[in-house]
This record gives sequence, structure tokens and C-alpha cells, in this order.
Amino acid sequence: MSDEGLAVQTIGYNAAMSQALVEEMRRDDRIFVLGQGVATGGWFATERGLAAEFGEKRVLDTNISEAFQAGVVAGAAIAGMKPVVNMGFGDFALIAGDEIFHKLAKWRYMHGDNFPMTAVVIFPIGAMGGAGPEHSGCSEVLGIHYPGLKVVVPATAADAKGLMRAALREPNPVLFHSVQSLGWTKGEVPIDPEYIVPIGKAVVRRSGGAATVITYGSMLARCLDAAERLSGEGIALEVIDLRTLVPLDWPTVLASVRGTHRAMVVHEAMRTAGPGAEIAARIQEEAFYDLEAPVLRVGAKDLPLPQHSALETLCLPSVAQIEAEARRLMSL
Amino acid sequence: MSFLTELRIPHSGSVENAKLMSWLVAEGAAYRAGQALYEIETDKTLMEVEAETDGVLARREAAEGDERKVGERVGWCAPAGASAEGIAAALKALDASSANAAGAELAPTPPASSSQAAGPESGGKLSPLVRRLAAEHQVDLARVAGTGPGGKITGDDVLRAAKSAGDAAPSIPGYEDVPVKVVPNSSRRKAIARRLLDSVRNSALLTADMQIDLGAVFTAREHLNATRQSRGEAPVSVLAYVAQALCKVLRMRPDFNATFTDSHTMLWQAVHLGVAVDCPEGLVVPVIRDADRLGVEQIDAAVRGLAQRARDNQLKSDELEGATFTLSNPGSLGPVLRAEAVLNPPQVALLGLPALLRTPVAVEGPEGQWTVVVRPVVRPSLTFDHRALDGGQAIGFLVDLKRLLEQQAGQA
Amino acid sequence: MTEPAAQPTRDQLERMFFRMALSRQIEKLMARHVREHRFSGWWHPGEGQEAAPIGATAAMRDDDYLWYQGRGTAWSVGKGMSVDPILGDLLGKTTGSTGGKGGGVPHWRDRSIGVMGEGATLGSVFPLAAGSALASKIRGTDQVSLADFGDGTAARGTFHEALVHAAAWKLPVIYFCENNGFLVGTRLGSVSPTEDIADYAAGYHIPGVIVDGQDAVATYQVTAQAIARARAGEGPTLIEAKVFRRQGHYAGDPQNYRDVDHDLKSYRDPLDVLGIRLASGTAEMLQEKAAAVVLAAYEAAMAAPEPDESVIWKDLFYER
Repeated sequence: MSDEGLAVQTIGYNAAMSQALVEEMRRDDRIFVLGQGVATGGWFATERGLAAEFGEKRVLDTNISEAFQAGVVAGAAIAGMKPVVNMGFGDFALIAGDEIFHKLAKWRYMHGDNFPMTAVVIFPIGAMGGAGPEHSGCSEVLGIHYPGLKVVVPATAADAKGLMRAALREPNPVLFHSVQSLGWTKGEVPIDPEYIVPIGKAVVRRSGGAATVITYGSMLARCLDAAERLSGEGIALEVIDLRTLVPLDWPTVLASVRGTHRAMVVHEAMRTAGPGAEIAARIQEEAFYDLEAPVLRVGAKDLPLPQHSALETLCLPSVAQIEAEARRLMSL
Repeated sequence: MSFLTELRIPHSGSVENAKLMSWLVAEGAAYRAGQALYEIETDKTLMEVEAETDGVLARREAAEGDERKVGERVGWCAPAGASAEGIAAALKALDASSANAAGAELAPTPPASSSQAAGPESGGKLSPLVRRLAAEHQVDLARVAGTGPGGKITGDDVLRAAKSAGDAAPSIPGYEDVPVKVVPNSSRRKAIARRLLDSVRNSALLTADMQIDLGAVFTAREHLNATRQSRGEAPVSVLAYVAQALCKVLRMRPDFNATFTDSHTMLWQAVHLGVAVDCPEGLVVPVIRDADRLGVEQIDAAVRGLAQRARDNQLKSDELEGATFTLSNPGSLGPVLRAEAVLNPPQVALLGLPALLRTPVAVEGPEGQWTVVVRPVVRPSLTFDHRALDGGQAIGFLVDLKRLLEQQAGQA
Repeated sequence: MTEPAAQPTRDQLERMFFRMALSRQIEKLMARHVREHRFSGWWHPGEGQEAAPIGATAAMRDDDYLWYQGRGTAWSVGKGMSVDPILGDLLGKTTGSTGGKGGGVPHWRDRSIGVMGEGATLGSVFPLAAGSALASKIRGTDQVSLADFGDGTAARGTFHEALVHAAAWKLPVIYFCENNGFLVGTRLGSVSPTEDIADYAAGYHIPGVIVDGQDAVATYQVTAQAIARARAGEGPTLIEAKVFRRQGHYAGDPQNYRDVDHDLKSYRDPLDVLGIRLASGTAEMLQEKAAAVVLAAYEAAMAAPEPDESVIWKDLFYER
């Protein structure tokens, strides 16, 4: 599906998600949505307009019950429906650890049963500016570590819509990590009700030959800023937006690294044992003899995020930090 | 880190670049003061770097083949008698403190200054990419100039070297099918070339030759060597006699023991004689200091000693610098008839000895009759800088040398 | 529960008995197998506890959803699952319903007859069953869902979360507790404010029913009533069947925590309880038939091939 010539609208990221939900619910009545507050449009307007069009039968408010929310989705999916659950804040999703990482991820495998199982877990991640240590976490690494789930992280409004559509048509459970800080970020979103972004495809957002910057989600914009600043000094960074973490688009990443010979991963998740650790390890395993320098990683400090937004900012990777690390990469 | 001290390449006159050729002490091994630790190749020569005190080599940081600048660190040393555990602990603390420094880079402080001034973090290390490309393209990394941060060799550098090695001739059409092997020049060769060209361009070279009969020298030498043999010593060479006479002439004619500048001529008061030695890697000119104070046997010993150390790459830097005049001896290599040479700046003159040949010479008899006799003859060439010296002076120099050598009788 | 209790027909009774006998035969055979062979997994004997599962499933349709836990033999057989795939799963052969992946903690399944499978984390069943119940409600069918669980599992938070919603949304789901008084080796009374799990129902404003779990017919009746409620849109029921755990929690359990002999005095074999309702000779005939079926299935399973190594890569993601 080519982007050229598509009519676009400028809407926010969460609005783009709800647009995809509405369009898909129209064409497939097996899709229903549940979560805390979804029937009133959702806490952050991700489900705006759904209840009005589809009623309380397909848009259900739940009580405060994250384990139940995710478990009922697993049960309904196994029974042939296509449920969508908004977990509210990704940090709460840990309450539903068994339901997401054992039941949804492993059910078919454990039972040796091959059937299409569609379930979308909207699992918002990231800091929002003062939401605190239990509302701001990035735990997308868990989906990488529990096989059986697909994991996506849109960084733009267009991708939020395109990936939501893809998730709703995917015959496997998907962890849809919407980025909390991008909820209101506007972008050009194709109007086409068939606009889809395939799961498992990264995109090169900026081309360059000096080094490959691999990123996703909230850090994409900061990496692009850093790349713009460094381009003035003749350092041309190539910035790859992964968009999907499982399955990760290794061919795109490795092809880029083999061309630039230098790589760094940037994400909002904590540095230690974050997704960057797996990506860096895999790059050096597969492209060691193409590397001029070690693969670097930028992530949040290994700390719970402080409540106060000014302190929170100190813990998260800044454009200046990304720039400095890119310079360091070039100096090695 | 006072337990560990840095092992840095010592300064050595004008030397700037040093490639570490080989380590002579194992990691963890103890060494004594004066013991050679590693060997470096500079613009001038191959030389060993010795330890200044007793100690233990705690860690080697530079690898064989690494290019370094003089003054850069190649390793870490521990005090003599240090235990392996103590060294391991100190190295661990060292690594921890440098890791902390690296970790601190993630703090939101202003970015570090220029990435290009990377120095020890990058310089000299061969990345996996570089090693692979060098192996694939059979490129000798010792001959590759690095353009990466801190002078590091990059993959592009290797590819460029491979391409230029593979090219028949640099963009000269018509040579593509000519069977030719193109050899990249080593840094030593380039340094020699640069110096010689400078010398030729910046001085007004001229050479005067003269024929000298060494019969008297031979006689004196025979006597001396017979005495030496009875003492169990090796015979002295003809070269030593020439060198001794040469030094006397230099004392008499300090104009030839000088350095010429636009405004001044520096007449050196000491005679430090450089004696050219041919080594496999090229010409090396070790220096005999205050050679004019030495007798024939001492000069002979000095020349032999320096020549041996030159061939063993054991010359110290102060043995390679400071010559005021050079004596070269190409005649020792073959029956060469002429020994004209290029000067070693900042010297103004050089004496070259071609082969010593038994030559027919016309000799006047007591009654004025001329006969031809065979004599041991050498025709030294005096190359001089005409800016500082005139032809008449040069001829006079040679005449003095000739007189001294042909009157050898009685010289010790 | 104002309607008269349903009476099973003679055919239904015979079928219940036969399936109970099949379950018992599987239990006995597996007990022997585990002693004689190495068993990959942990076998949880359910001998003596067959009545509740057989009775409950007899009241269910093929298109109703069953989420069993722990001792799944009688539940699956009761729901209509064939013995061959069950034994194939137990012995880890390709003929098993899981293709060789299932084992001791059973994961056999047959979605075509509503045997959905099992999650080994006890208590995961509560939201799962609510999920299939919600699915049928949204879909507009009158399918019901039944979740089987033990007395200890009722302490899970998911029990509460699921019941809150099942009750609020009047989901067509039956939460069926088999209360044998033990959590592995711990007596229920020491870790629960009540010995009667059905007590919790009142808090959710749903019916809580206690039934003799050794009596298949009694269990059938209360389950049928709960199912009728659910199909009519009246919401969930909590059924508690008092059952007798005759063996240890797992094969080889020394049961140092109970006085087995004392307890066994009050044991009533469900086969006997059900058998006396059958015409004379029928029970013995059905038992023999069951024994033969199970033995044949066992031998077939023993002879069946083990799965290829490649089975470990299957069923992670959907393959068209």
C-alpha cells in the first residue's frame, strides 16, 4: 500500500488509534473493546466514539481489575471473538502478568492447537510528565522475552492507525504499546480505511552513512533532532524506526549496520536489560566483522521514574544525551 | 593509581611516530633496569626501549603493529616485587575507574568536546571490520595510514590500501596489462626520501675526489694487528685509520665540521663522527661522539660496536643524533669506484670511501724514470655544500687527508 | 432454583456411568503406568472424585465451554472427549490431542466439543471462563461456560475479579468448585474463613449451591439448574461439590498431613453411588466395556510414535 497520493488528515495519535478501532469494528462484528473507562471514550480518548456507535454490548467498561481484563480477553479470543482491551497504563499490566504472558502468549502452544487467535492488548508505555514511577514504565521488553506475542510500538499517528488495523487483522495476540507521551501528537494520517502498516517492518526515517541509530516510540523524534544537529557537522546518522519489536526487522537493521559500520540503540526503557541489550547483542553476533566500534545503547537511567516531572526528565534520554552518545560512537 | 605507573614511549630527539614492532617482556613478567621492554620502528631506525627501573609489566596496552606517537602510553607497570594478586586488584580498580568515567557520559551534562581528539580510547586499535578486510584483501596493516579518530585505521583505509595495491599504476593509462608489482612505501622509506630530497634541494652539492696511497697505513696496520693478535684481539680495520686521520683534518679545518644557516655558520667545537652502516632495513648512521679524542684502536672498537648494535636494532636515540660529519664506506660492499653521497643535513660535508683497490700507479724513480707499480689506492669523495665551502677549501681538505694517511708511519 | 430438578433418562445414566468407568479405568491404568514407567510430568490422581465432573458435564451441550483444572480426566471424558487422544497426550505421543506436547498437567483439548484446555496457574480459569461467556453473550448464542476449580483456588484475586464482573454483567457462566478440603497438603480450614466455598456467592448476589460431589446425579441436577439460569440470561451460579480426595495430591504423595485410614472410612465410591441406579448387571457390563476400551487405547498409545523434535516449534503463532 503506497503512501503516495493518499488523502491525509492531521489528527492526534490516540485519535488515530480510535479511528482504526471504529473502522475495523464496522467491518468485523467479532471485535469488541473493554477496559476501565472505555465506554466513556477512554481516559485518553483512545476509544472516543466507540460506545456511541457500537453500544455497551461491544464497548464495555470494566471495574478496576487488570487481571480480569486481560484474562477475559484471552478466554474470549480462544472462544473465537476478537477482543481489544485497554490496560490503562502499561505499569498496571504487570498485575495481569499471568494472563498476558502465560495465557495469551502460551495457550495455543501448550495445547498444541493451531487456530487464529486475535486479541489486542493496548499496553501504553512511557513517561507523561509527572505521572510517577508506577504510571510511566516501559516494559515492552517482556513481550520480547515471552514468545507467543507480537509486539508493536507506533511512533507516529499514522503508524498508530496502521498498526492498530494490522493488529486487529492479525491471527495472533498483539501487545500494542501505545506511547503515552505521544497521545496528543498530531501527524498526517491517511484517511483510507484500508491503510495498514504491516507488523514486522521497520522503516528508515532518515538516511545516512556515518552510523545507524535504532530506535522506536518516544525516542524517534529525539533521535531525528540529534541527527539534524549532527548533520550540520558532517555526521550523517541513519535513523531506523523499528515500529515492531516482535518480530523484529533484523534484515533492515543489519543491512544498515553493514553499510555504516557503527550502531547505537536508543529507547526510553531503562538501559539495563532493555530491548537495546538484545538488539546490541544480536548485531554484534551477526555483524561483528562489519563493525568499526562497539554497539552503544542509550536508555533511561536504571531507576524508578521520580514523580516530579523535572526529576523525571533527568532520568530520560535527552536529545543532548543522544547527540553526545552519537559523537562518542563516532570517536571509537 | 600510584601503584601502577604508565609505560609511555620515551621521547627521542625529533622522532614523532613510533610503531610498536614487538614486545620483549611478557605480561606479568618482572624486568630489571636497562632490560629491553619492547621494540619500536621510528622514521630513523628500529630501536629497543629499555626499562628505567626494575619492575613488573602489569599490562600491555598496545599490540604489535600498533602505530603510536612518542609520549603515548603502551602499557602499565607495577613496582618490582609486586604480587600477581596486587597487580590484578590494581588493574581492576583502574578498569573500574575508567568504566565509571564512561558511565558518567550518560548524565545530562554538556556533551564531551571534540570526538576527534580521542587519543588512547581509539588510536591504534584494529576494529573487527578492519581485521576482516585486511585478511580478505591481504593488506599489511603496518603499511596502512589511519584516517579514523585518533589516527585509527578504518575499513575505508584498508579498502583504499587494497585498491591501490591492486592498481597497476596510479591513473596512468596503458599499464593495465603490464605485469608489475606495486609495493607501497613504508614510513621509513618515505622519511628517508623526504630527507634526501630536502638535502639535495636545500644545499649546493659538489664533490671532489682525490687519490690516496694507503701503503703506509697498511704497514702501520700490519704491525698493530700483529701485536693485537698476540694479545688475542681482533685486527683493526683500514677504516679506523682513515677515520682517525679524518678527525684530525676536521680539527684543522673546522669549516667542514659545521652547520650552515642563512645568517650564520656554526662551527662545531666537538667532532661527533657519524659512520654509515648498511642494515637490512636500510642505511643507519650511528654516531661516535668526540671521535677526535680516540685512537685508532678505540675508533675501530667504536665503529664495530655501533655497527653490530645497528644490525641488532639496539641503538639508542642519542647514538643516532648529533653527528657533525659523516663517513660512509660503500667500498666495503663492493668494488665501487666512486663514493659521492648526499649530505646529512645539517652537516656541510661528507667523506665517502669507495673500494680500496690494488691499482697500477706511475711512480717516479730516483733517476727521474717513470715506472708503473701496483699500489693499494683509495679515491675518497668529499661531498660538500658549496654554500658554505669553496672548491679550494675542499681540495685543501683532501690534500691534508692524503698527507696524513700517506705519512702514517708512527701514528698510533 | 424454583424449578424441579431434572431427572436424567436411562440413556443418560448409562452414559454417565460408562464415562465414569472410563475415567476410573484411566486413573487405575495411569497409577500403574506411573509406578512402572517414568512419567513425563506430574500425575494428579483423581480416582474417587469422578462423580462431580461426570454429573456436571452430563448437563452441558457440546457447544458449551468447559475450562477444567487439575484432575481433568473425568471432566474431559464426561464432556465427550475420546479416550485415545487423552492417553496419547498422557504418554506424550503424536496421537494425543496436543500432538505430543501435553503431559502430566493435562493440556488436552477438543474445541469442537467445548473442551477448552487448562492453564496450570490455578485461578487463571476464572477470567477465561468469563471470557468465553462474554463471547457467547456478545455473539448472541445461548452457550454457557463452566469453570472447574478446587477449594484452594477460590482464594485467588482472579476469583473475585471474575465474579464481580460475571455477576454485574450477568454472564452465562458457572463456577464449579470441587471442594475436597485440601490444598495439596494443607487443610482448607487453616487458610480459609469458611469450609464452604459457596458462602462467597452471597457477596456477589448470585446463587451459591452445595451438592454432594460423590453423587453424579445430584451434581447433574444442580448443574442443569444453573445452566438453565445462565441460558435464560439470569447470570452466574457458584456450585460447590463436596468431593472426597481418595489419593494424595500427586502420585507418590505420602500424605503425612492426614489420617488416611480414618478419612477413608467415610469414602463412598461414586461408581457405586451411581451404579445402583442402573439395571442389574448393567454396571458390571459397562465396567468391563470401559476396561477394554481403555486398555486398547493404552496399548495403541504405547505403540504410537513419539513426536519429532520439530514439534517444539509448532503452534507458537498461527500457521494458515
